Amino acid sequence: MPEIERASYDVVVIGAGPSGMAAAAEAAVDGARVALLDQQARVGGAYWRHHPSQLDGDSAAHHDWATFRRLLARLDRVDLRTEHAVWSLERVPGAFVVRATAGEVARRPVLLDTTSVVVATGAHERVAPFSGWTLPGVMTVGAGQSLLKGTLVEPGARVLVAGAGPLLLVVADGLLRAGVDVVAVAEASHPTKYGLHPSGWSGTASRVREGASYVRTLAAHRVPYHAGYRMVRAWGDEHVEHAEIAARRGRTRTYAVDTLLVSDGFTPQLELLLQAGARGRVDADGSLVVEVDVAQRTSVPGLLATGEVTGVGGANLAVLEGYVAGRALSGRAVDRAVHDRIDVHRRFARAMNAVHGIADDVAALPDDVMVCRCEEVTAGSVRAACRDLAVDDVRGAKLMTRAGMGMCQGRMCSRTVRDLVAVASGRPVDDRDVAPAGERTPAFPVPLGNLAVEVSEPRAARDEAGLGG
Amino acid sequence: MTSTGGATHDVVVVGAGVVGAACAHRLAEAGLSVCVVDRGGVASGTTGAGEGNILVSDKEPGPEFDLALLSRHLWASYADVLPRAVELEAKGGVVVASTAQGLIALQKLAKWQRAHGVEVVHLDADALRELEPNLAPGLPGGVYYPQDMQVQPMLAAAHLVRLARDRGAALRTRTEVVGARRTASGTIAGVLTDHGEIACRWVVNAAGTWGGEVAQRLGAPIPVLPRRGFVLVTEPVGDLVRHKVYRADYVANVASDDAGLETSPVVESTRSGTVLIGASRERVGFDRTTSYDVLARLSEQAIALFPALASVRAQRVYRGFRPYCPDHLPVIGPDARVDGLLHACGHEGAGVGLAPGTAALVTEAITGAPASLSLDPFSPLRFGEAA
Amino acid sequence: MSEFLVRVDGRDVDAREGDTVASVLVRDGLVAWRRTRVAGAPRGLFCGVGACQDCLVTVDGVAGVRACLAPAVPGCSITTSDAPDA
Repeated sequence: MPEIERASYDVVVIGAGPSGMAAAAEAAVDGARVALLDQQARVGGAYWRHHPSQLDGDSAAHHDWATFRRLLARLDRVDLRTEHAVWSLERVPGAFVVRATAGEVARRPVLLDTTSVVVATGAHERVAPFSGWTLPGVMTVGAGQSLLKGTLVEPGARVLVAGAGPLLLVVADGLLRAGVDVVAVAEASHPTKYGLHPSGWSGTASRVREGASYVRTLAAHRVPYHAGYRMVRAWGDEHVEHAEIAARRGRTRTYAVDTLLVSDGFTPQLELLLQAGARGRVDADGSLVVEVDVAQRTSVPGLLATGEVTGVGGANLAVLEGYVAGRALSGRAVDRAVHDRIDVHRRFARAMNAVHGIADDVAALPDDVMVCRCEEVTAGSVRAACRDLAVDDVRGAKLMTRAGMGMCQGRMCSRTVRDLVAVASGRPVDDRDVAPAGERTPAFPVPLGNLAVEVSEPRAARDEAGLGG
Repeated sequence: MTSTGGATHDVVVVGAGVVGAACAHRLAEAGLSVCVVDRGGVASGTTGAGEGNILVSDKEPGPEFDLALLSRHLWASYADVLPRAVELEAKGGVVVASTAQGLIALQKLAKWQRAHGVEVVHLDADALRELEPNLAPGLPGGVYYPQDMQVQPMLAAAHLVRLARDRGAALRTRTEVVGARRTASGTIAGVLTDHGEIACRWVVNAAGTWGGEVAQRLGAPIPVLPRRGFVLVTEPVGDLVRHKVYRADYVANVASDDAGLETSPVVESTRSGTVLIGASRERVGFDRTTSYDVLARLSEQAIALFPALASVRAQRVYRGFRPYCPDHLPVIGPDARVDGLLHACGHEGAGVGLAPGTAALVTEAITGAPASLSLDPFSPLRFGEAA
Repeated sequence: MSEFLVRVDGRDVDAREGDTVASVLVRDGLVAWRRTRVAGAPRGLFCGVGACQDCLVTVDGVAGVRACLAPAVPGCSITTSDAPDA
């Protein structure tokens, strides 16, 4: 049996992306014992994904690098626990217990006691399924970015970038700078719609400049930019070799590729917040987010949340929210101007969502397209369950088709299954069903031995030792 | 929500879990007009958290044993009408004794069971390891029950409902029963729901863990209470476990009146290669909070049986609330307090296994056919003032 | 930047500081390193952040390691699978 590593803190921050770094940096004043956890080997999250050789000096490949360096320097007062995958956040009287496995291979059990928690676990990308999306070589834009920026490895040689959202241009730009052949970029929405939301643009002039520069890079490399085109299918023998995109009115284009980077928005990772009982709500883009007040507090006392889990809004907003949370925990006031900046960013996020937040056309999904990657369940199976077995919600679909029962616990498929069931059963999505569908205990698979080892130190003994919980 | 358009039915079955589904199917086959009502969807309640056990091995002498034998026999006949998708298979159960004393007690029970129609195979230490090569060394022996079966309970319930509907039964999901309409003489005339009334002559209360609540609303309370259980689901592990395997003290835990935590290892393989680990029993009302103490004990006990499980990962934990009555027997049959009302609930952790037998008894009571078993031990009136 | 060797299916493969197991495999030309349970379909990197559980590989005898998260460690032994998951 493994041995549990135990430690106590005043604050545990889960997630070391922009908002987690900011929260930990601000919370760690006046001798407060702060831990910052992340399952990655390095801090920075997706936004500041970097190669260790880039730590010193400026890096043109990174955004707001100075901010990252500044926050990193302030983390020397924080107990940095990388490679810690947190699988449980338990609320106990007056405190919290955080359970993690340390080391993706070593899987050592770690149990932390604390009185305050900040959950900054960010979001993972969503991909709307299409025929062939499970072929090797098809991956998220973030996975491509992770390889490129984090390990300096190119995801492929001939790449098509497709989906919805501003990240497509960012990754295409990065790939082109690395000398990769980007055959095209297909954006499913029409970014010219930005003009319809002027309120979203105030104070974000730098964003406009940034977007324009990416488009220029594409033009300079003669990379076609197809606005209003979606992924239709990918095919190949054992890995992707061709990809077809299509416009609303049916016009199609096909490219020979070896890599497909796709992204259709983000799904906030709420597992730990739901485990601890925090209240969520369904955001305008249909995803479940956690409710927070102006100080980033959730409905559970002592539990705060920052960044994408409160609503997808980008890294700048995330840093500000982390700052607010950290200040709240260390009992210090926040300047009015900061809250104003947060409001500006939230408006921009709403505008972005209105432009890029396209509803998946699940009704058009062919029956043979796989919707659950883990259990290999097709759209047709889900529809048949609605038709023959009276399935009318995500839970029913899971029980009857196994969609969502695999190792990823429905992270990749539950949104699609939810929409598919709503169409096939005729019963609209009930918001009250959304939170339960996002509950996952454990948040990540954990060795039974790690669970069992807690028997040797029962709760009563921990109470006596004053460790709380 | 599916709807009948306000027609009259012979029977309204309250609850679309495995027991309600089995009743609806059997009643429809008998030619009655049936409407199944559930405030959620099919298998939304305890059936949705079930492991799908159809056991004769864990039944001690008594009425439940008789019902289990009848039910197991009927499950086997369901194989002809249910699709392969429901994963109905006679996987067999291996009961393991961890001490010599425990083995003696187990052998005694098995001897009685064999005398009453159950197939048993006594296992010494070697035979035990042959059936389950990955069991921990040092276990003195056990008993193998070839008749123990397993099924995917949600799919079984859903297909039984489908078969009932093929025979004309109606299904109204997302519909909650709030009361009953009775004639001047007190006979049932219909059920009242939050979506209108459904006229009927009989009502079958198959509401599982909420059977007490429904019974109350229909005018005839019965003491059905929740007993929480957790199940751990592992990542796929191939052939590590071959059957349903449990330790001999499981039987005593089921029958226990202890209000505290009871855990006893139950480990079984599934078609998809995952292993299900149970079993815990606690009386904590409907508290859904994850108990890490329970998970720790369940894991420890499972590892004690199968040491290789220590490095196998749990990918999911779920909980369910078994419906139990104070004497650990279900409530089945007509309720003299309300003419037309029958109960079919309170099966504790054996709802899946006992569903077809329960359906047979309920159908016989309604159609007037000879009863397969005496209903006296299952009577809703047996609780006296405790109801 | 420091360079070292790891083993992939018994072969020596070059790796560098900052590598994950996934980047080692991708640089070595692999796009898939396991097969699904039902259809035996090849899978490799998909989400890149440890959420999808597609990129699982065996490292130093430990199965089910998320290649996108596990750092490549000098001398580590990576085993891919061409057989459907158990």
